[in-house]
Parts: sequence; C-alpha cells; structure tokens
Amino acid sequence: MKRRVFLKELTLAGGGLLLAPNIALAQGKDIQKLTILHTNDTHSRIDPFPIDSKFPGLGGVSARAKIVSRIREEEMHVLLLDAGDIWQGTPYFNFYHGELEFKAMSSMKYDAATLGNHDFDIGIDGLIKQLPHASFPFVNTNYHFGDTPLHNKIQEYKIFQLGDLRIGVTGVGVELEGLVLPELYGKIHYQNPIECAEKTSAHLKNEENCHFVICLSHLGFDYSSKKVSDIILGKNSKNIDLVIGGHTHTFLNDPVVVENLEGNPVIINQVGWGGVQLGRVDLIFDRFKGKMHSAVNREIFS
Amino acid sequence: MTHRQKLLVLLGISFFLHACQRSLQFVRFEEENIEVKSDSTTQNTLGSLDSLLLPYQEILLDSMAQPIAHVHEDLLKADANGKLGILMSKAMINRAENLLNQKVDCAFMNRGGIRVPVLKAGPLALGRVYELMPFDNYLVVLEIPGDSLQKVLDVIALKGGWPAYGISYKIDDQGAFDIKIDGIPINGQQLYQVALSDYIANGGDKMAILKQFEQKNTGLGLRDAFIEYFIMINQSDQVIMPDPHIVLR
Repeated sequence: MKRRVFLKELTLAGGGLLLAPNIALAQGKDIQKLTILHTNDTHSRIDPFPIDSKFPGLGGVSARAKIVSRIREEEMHVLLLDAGDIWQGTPYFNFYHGELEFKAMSSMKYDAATLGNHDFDIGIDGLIKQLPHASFPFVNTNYHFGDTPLHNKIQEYKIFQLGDLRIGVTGVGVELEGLVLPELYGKIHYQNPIECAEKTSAHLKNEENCHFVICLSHLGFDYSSKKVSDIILGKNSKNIDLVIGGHTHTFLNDPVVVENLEGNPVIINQVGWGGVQLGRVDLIFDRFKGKMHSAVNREIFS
Repeated sequence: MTHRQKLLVLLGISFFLHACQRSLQFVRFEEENIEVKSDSTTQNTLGSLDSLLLPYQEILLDSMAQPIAHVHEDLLKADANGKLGILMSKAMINRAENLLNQKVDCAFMNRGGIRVPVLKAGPLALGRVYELMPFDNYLVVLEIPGDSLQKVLDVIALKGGWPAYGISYKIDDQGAFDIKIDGIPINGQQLYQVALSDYIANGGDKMAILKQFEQKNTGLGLRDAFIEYFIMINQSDQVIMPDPHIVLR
C-alpha cells in the first residue's frame, strides 16, 4: 500500500511544480536535489536545423551548451548524460568521423554516455580512434567487448558522488545484428539487456550503496511487437530508478512512470532526436522520508 | 541518565550516523524537456565552444563548395522519365556491380528519395550531392524472380512510376506492362538482380512487398555511391550526360 502512495505522490509531483520553491529553500543536508540533463540521438547535429527543415532553427551544440551552462550555475548537483547515436546524420560526421561531436560534448562536460548502433558506423577501430576526444566515459553492461579492442575502454557503470548522494549510471544497447554491418561491430556480443542491467543495478544499489540508479538505454521506447524496449526494461527491473532512452527518436511530453517488479516506480524519459530538446529531470531526495528512520527517532527521543 | 536511557541515546546516534550515510531517499521528481534554441541574451556566455566549432565549420563549408564533376545539361527530377533519377539509378548499378563483383540487371530510384528538383548544368559541388541525398541509406541488391518483379512494378506503377535503369516499362492505372530488362521481355522464371536503397528494400515508402527478397548489402552509403560515380566520370575526363533511356509511359 505504501508503495502505491509513494508512486502516486511521485506522479503528482511530476505533473506539478508546487513543491519547487520549498525545495529550493529547504535544500541542505536533509533534502538534496539532483538535476539530470540528457540528450539522445543527437546524430551529429552540430549546427541548428536549417530554416526549411522540420525543426527550423532548433538544436545545435552552441545553444545546448548555453542552456547547460546556465543550469549548472543555478543548480548544485547536475549530471549531463547521453543515450547514444551521437554520430551520423550530417556532413560533420562524414568529414570528421565523430571528432567534433565528442569534442563538443567534452566542452559541455558530459558526465557519461552510452553507445547507440550508429556509434559503430565507422567500426570499432573508428570509435577507438575518437575515444581520446571524449572526456566522459561510455557505459554499457550488455555488450560483451571481451574479444575486441574496446575491452576495458567501455565501463559497465560509473558512480558519481554528488554531495551526500551516490548515483550509479549504467547503460544498455540494442541488438546490433541486422542493424549494423557485421564487419563494423566485429566480435561484440549482444547479451540480454534486462538481465545485464538488473545485475549491474543490483550491484550498484546493494554493494556500492547507490541511492539512485540511472540506466542509459539505446533499446527504444516502446514497440508494438515484443521487442525489448525501455518500457519492458522498466517493468522487469528491480533496481533501476530512471531510464534515459533513445533509438526510437520518441518525443515525450512528460516522462512515463511504470511500476517495476517490486511495485516501485521507474521513470522513463526520451527527448526525440537531433538535439532539438534537452531533457531535464530534477530528483528530490529526503533524508527523513526513510520510514525506518523516522520510526526509530520517535521511539528514542519521545 | 539511566543505563537504559544511555543505551537508547547510543542507539539513536548509531541510527543517526547510519542515516547520514544511507537514508537519503528518492521521493519525487520534477521535469521539463527544454526546447533547444539560441537565445540572444546568452550569446556571449560560452565563446569557447563556438571557437572550437569555427575551424570545422569553415573547412566543411569550403569542402562542400568544391566541384567534384561537371554536369552537361540540366538534369530534372521530374517524373519517372526524369533524367536525374535515371542517372542515379545508373550510378547505383555501376557501384553495386563494382562492390559485389556481380552482374546487376537494373536499379530503381524511389522518387521520394530524390531531394532536389534539378542538378543544373555546370560544376557540381559536393554539397549539392548531400542535398540530393541527405539520408544515410545503403545501396543494396535484391534477387527478385521475374513474376515477383512484375508485382513489384505494379505497386511502383500505382505511385506514378519510378525512374530506373536497365529496365523499361509502361504503366497505366492497372499496373505495369511491356516490361523489358536489357531490352528483353521479362521472364517470370528468371532471377533478376535489382539495386535499390535499403530503405525501400526494407519496406519503406510502402514497399512491404520487397521485404521477402534476399538482400545483399554493398556496405556503401547511397550518397557515397553517387559521389564516387560522379568523381569517376570526372576523372575519366567526361561530363555527366543524360543517358538515352527507354522508360516509356
């Protein structure tokens, strides 16, 4: 029952901003706020979309950088994340093979990204050549890189300590077979993303004591078939709190909240493609919401 | 303080310390997906990224302006008989044969995939080919039996026909007829090698009928196929000429 209330409360807060001024004032030791900024499927959109296109004048790394920098000035704890398909889509990629995309993201101080299928478009060697231009780590837990030169270059997860908050970030990728030419992805073995993400998330929660686990996903938001998606991943997880999605270029008006295997909420968000939008999810953590803790307090000090 | 009270206080402290490390609990979230648009009031706040981009942008603009070939006369997209689409189809056969090391009988260029109305007579800039084919589709070859190819052409006919090379056909509102491949009437039993965009081969543009056929991917982007073909013509000191073609309506 309590979990249902919790979920309801969560959904309500997601819709309205009535708590925002209180949180800004009360933020301190007992209430902490973490701002997640995210992109997906930016597809080499260095410049804004042309005027005669679908998104006239929108996007562009310069405009994105300015928004990110403004929010960093306003907020104490910010993580900037990307859910893959950084590459392919404009001549910048054809000309510079991904160098400028990584450099621009490093300049914006991205904290982590995962790999999309198009990030293998110039092969494993092409990716390795550009990795030195990325100051941020790539995380993925369901590609087995053991037999490839990417071994040890892609991390299963990354933990961020922000104030008192410990945040775990992992990533999952889409099945490459049929999507990417075999000679480009070589000996990367795709493994079940639900099983891998759950194993890594459980480790982050239980062994690494993370308060919150984010999964960067390039699986796709939802399919009419049974193909594994962010919705299926969320519903079949136990330890993932937030899925930052990509691949299906889905524009969501609001993040979707699904119930996981234990009845807890999983937030799923995705911001279309081309850097037209920057996703923002502000997470609020409260020290005295811990049920056990408040009960113990009352017993001892009353 | 009694012994019992001391114990409780100690317990309290230990719970409190424990709480400091672990009990921050996620309680709610707020969200706002922000439209990314440049804002004149913040124009000078992040000059470093702009200066990072500038040399890349300049080289790119410069490269895009470079001519890669010379076009002899205006090549119009027009309809299924448009010279531009026919030339693109010819280029697809040329590159597919070269890469797969096999004979390719014909090629189709879906009209919707031709993104400029005309390639003007004169120098052809690289950037114009990017405008002609902005999508990152691949050049593939399908193996289609003659009787199926007839059905495929019936679907294409209902779209008003597509430019092609290596094949000629007439259309009416019932479908395609008088189909000839390399000048020879289509044989229902024969297997034909057909070059296409992978977008079409995978059922795009409502061509689900094509999904059943075996697909050989050249691994070459369609745009790169055109660029390579145009450069090849240029290097052999030729100009891009429309081909005398036999698509009839």
